[in-house]
Amino acid sequence: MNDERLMTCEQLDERLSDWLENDVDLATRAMLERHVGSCARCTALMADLALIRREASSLPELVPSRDLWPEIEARIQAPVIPLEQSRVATAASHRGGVRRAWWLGAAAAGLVAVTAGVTHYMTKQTQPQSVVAVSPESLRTPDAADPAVVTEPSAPLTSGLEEQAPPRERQLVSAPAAAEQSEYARDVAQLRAIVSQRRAEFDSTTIAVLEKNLELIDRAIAESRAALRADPASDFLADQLARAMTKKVAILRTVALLPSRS
Amino acid sequence: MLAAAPEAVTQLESVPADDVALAASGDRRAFERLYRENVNRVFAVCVRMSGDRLRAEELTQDVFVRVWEKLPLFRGESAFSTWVHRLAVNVVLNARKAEGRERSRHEPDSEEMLETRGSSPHHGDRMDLEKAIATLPPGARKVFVLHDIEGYKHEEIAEMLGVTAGGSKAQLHRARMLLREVLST
Repeated sequence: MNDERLMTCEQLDERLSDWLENDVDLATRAMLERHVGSCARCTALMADLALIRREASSLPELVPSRDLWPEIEARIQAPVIPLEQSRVATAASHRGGVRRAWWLGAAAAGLVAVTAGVTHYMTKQTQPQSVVAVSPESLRTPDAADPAVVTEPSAPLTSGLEEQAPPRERQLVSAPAAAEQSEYARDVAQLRAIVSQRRAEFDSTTIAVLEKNLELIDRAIAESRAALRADPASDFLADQLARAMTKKVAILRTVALLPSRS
Repeated sequence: MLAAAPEAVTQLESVPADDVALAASGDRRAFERLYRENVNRVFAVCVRMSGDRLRAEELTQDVFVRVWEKLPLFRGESAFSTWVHRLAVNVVLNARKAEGRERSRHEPDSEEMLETRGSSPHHGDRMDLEKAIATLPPGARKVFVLHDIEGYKHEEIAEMLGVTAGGSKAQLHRARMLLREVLST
């Protein structure tokens, strides 16, 4: 190091990050360049970093070790009714009603299973020998207002369809899931908006069944969250909650994609 | 994420707009085509951000399930592949947040990681850079992948990670210096 460099290697190290981000003024930049031009150590450093950046920006795509599609397909198969199938269903009014009832019934069945699973788990915690499954009717008691419960856009469809924005979340079950919870709430709100716009296109039976199923799944979600607060480490409860949330999105998504009555 | 009418889907890339619209309406064959068109890029970001190829395969599945669920909300305001890529980043980040507590109990700190993983990559070889990236501590790795590989700006990274832009810059610098150290070993 000599006096003419005006900057030491240590000083360059301190400013290096800003320099690489083009976050230094012209005078500082000139000093940095002058130092690098006369210092072998810093010349090598800058060359290495430039190479890393260059190679990083041109890294190739990577190929999975196996075809992931079969597993993805299995996961997406259940809840979605292909548009063409639904179209056929609505073309014939009698059978159309039956088909809609079929898929909404299936959704309800899955929903009850989720709810029953959570309820069973919760019941088991306090009454080991008691109820294994519950009917939807037994799930009607509203979850008491609890600051730890995430409020989500789950109002009845008749009013919820007119919602402009979801209620704000009060407190999340767990901090690590905050972003996902927020994203979920946003998705639900947006899907509800779509369904709301299309409400007039559906017959009253479809709306009624949808409302019923959303009410049930909201109850399942609330119970899962309540159970998770009691046992935050439970993978089972976390899985049940995730399944119930996924189910809700799937139901809304399916309805959003339904063809109109005509 | 917003609703998309099929006709609003733009053709900004090689993916046929028809496939996006068909998949959004529930056509799984069209969705499979979209999957095959995008899987390698999604897998790459999952590998590099997670540092684990097996975990990345699980995450890739999660990404495409999420894409399927969100397709009706795709407006076509960006290229489909860009939308999928951003969604992939979100899935990986959310997964890592959820796993964070567990991971922190088992993963050594950055210095230990650099010593124990010890794959001794050499400079100038792409595969070696891949290995070196995997040795980075999670925070630095995420920022490096998002900035230097994926091309996100510090402000975008800061928003995604819930840190400041300055914090993102600091992590990036740390990552580059660690990589240089590993690559010159």
